[in-house]
Amino acid sequence: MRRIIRGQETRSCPTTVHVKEAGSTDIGEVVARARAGDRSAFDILVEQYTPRVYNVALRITGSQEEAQDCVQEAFIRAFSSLRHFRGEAAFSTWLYRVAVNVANDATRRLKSQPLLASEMVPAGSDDPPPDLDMAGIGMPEIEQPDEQVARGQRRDVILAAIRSLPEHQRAVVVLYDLQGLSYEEVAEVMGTRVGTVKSRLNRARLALKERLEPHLELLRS
Amino acid sequence: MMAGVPYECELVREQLPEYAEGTLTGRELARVEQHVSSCERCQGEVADLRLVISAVRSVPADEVPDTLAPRIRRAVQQRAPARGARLLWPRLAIPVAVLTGVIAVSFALRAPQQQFAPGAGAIPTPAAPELAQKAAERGVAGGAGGVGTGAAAPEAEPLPRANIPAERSRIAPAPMPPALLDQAQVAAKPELPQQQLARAKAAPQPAEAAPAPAPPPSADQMQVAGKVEAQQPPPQEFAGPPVHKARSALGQQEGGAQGGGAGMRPPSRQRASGGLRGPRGPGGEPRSGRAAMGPGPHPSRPAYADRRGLYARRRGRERPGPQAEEQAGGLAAASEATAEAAGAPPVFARATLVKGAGQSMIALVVASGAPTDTITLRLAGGPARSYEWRSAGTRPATIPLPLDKIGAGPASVPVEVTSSAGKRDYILFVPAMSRLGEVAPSAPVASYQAAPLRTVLSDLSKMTGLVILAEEPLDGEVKGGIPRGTPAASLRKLGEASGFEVEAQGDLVFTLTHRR
Repeated sequence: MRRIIRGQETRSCPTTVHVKEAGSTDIGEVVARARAGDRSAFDILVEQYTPRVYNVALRITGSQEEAQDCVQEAFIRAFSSLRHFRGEAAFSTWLYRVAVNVANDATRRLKSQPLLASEMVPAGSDDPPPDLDMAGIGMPEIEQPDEQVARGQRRDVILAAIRSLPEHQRAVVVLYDLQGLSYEEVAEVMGTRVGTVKSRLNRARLALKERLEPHLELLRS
Repeated sequence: MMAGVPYECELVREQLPEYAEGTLTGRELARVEQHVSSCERCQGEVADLRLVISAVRSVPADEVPDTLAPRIRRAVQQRAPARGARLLWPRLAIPVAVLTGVIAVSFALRAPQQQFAPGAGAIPTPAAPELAQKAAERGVAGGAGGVGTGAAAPEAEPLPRANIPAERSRIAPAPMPPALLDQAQVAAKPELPQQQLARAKAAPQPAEAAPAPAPPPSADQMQVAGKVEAQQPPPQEFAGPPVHKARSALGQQEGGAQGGGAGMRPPSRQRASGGLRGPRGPGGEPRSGRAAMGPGPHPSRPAYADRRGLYARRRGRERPGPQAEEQAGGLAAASEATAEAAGAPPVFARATLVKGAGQSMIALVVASGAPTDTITLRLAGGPARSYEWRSAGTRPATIPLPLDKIGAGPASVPVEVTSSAGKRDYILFVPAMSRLGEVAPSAPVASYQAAPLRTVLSDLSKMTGLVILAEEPLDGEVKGGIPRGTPAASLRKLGEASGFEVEAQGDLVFTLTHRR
């Protein structure tokens, strides 16, 4: 039996999140066993949720190494505080929340690393600071015939734009658009209201459009 | 508002993504649809948004490295002990901490004076700071009452802290130094030089706040410290008003900007950070940190500086490495380094702070160009005091300065800001109520995010008469308080003018997010 927690019909690219694989035991039972201290049950949860948590962390931090550290830390925190999980929310939502917090912390830490002098902007300059995340990616080479390369460039440009969003907007985009959570689930993960989620998502998309404006041709290709 | 965008388009702009996605419903849908159907510009925008949304969703998930799941299982096994053992300690931590604290206090009171570094207050066992740190993390810092043996708790496990950002500012602000508190209490009394010297020798060693084990200072070291204090320059005359943008009452203060440097203390004598031990009383005895801090802006919560100090320690513990070492030992080391250079620290800004009625806090925003630095703010006029912060990283950071700690002095306080790194590419802001001066650096500035920050803080101050209580590093978000009833439109306008996105979060809280 497969249980689908979301799949919004109104969306053009509905994403499904399977919390129960065919033939597997009920996830609620597994969580209950893990709460009781059953390590093997927790291992099942690790197997089940690692891909999703990893992708959330990867999209937020933008670094594979950092994302792996975040996933590990998220599971350790989850295991340590599993007794606080009362089952009011889906386990996945709760785990996402832990993971998003860990990933955001990591991002802040990365951001607080010293900047290069070239990244600084003299005071009084009207020019906005350079978009650090976009820097180095470079303009797409339109004449590049290789579709695979173009796809890779498209992906890089999009991910860089997502990473350049402010923290709370980035998390909403990652959870809603990339992970396919519903507004309600995102609100639960973020600990905020649905209206706030919608508002952040709208702003995030407008910001993404602005950032991706120079690359629209690439996106169309 | 975007430049050149017609007003009608601006009205529906925020709903366009939802419209493009097809999730907009009801009256909003009708309103947006009506406009879009007759506006070519918005039709183009909707098409672009659809393209962007679709492109974002088309990004495939990444493959998870095969080694990750086994690695997680191993880590969970190693770092999360069996549940039975884990549940016992939280229950025991507080009683153990209190008991240990009581024992340590009585030991401290009975032991010969030379057993302790003057003012250090911690039993000089290598494990003490670490244990105290753990106690603080379990919320029993107050129980430890300033004795560095907070709790003999076991290795704490990381718990999810959904509402507590683990990575706070890169600056670990020092709480009110005990000497400062003492001075605040006796501010009305002029102090004799002998008394100052005697008090200087009794002042706490900065090493006490470092979580890393530190041996008690030797008699020689204490002597050197005493010399440094004794060699403080005589009362210093501030070089006039400073480089500041006058705001209303600021001009009144300029003539009286005399530094009462007689009581000025070198940075080395200040406590480096709070959260573990409370400040000390006049005799160096430990006091409760909260009680000593006095009523702050958040009486029900730990003092801001205390909380930040605590976070710095957590960070240091959780992420060992060069950065953690810097956090752990940096405060003390920086204090000493500054003490050595106390003779001529480069001054990069001077100003006059003018205390407004009802004002409770100043937030200094410092954008440092140096990777690591110790920034000292010296207050003169009345009882002179120093505040010291260690910064790491070049992102702007916020320094809280509770005005009730300056309260005993005159209404205007000349200040000097120095930097141990000798760097001059700083920006120093003093955003506050209408009668507070704003400080500008005395040298050319090249600092990231400087311009928008200046704008937002200045505008915010003008618009709301607000003291910004920024609790986050300014590398993305600023949280602050605004007077109840401030129209949302004003906030939006502020954001548009400043380069920050402003999001109201209830009546009294807002978030500014830097647009990059």
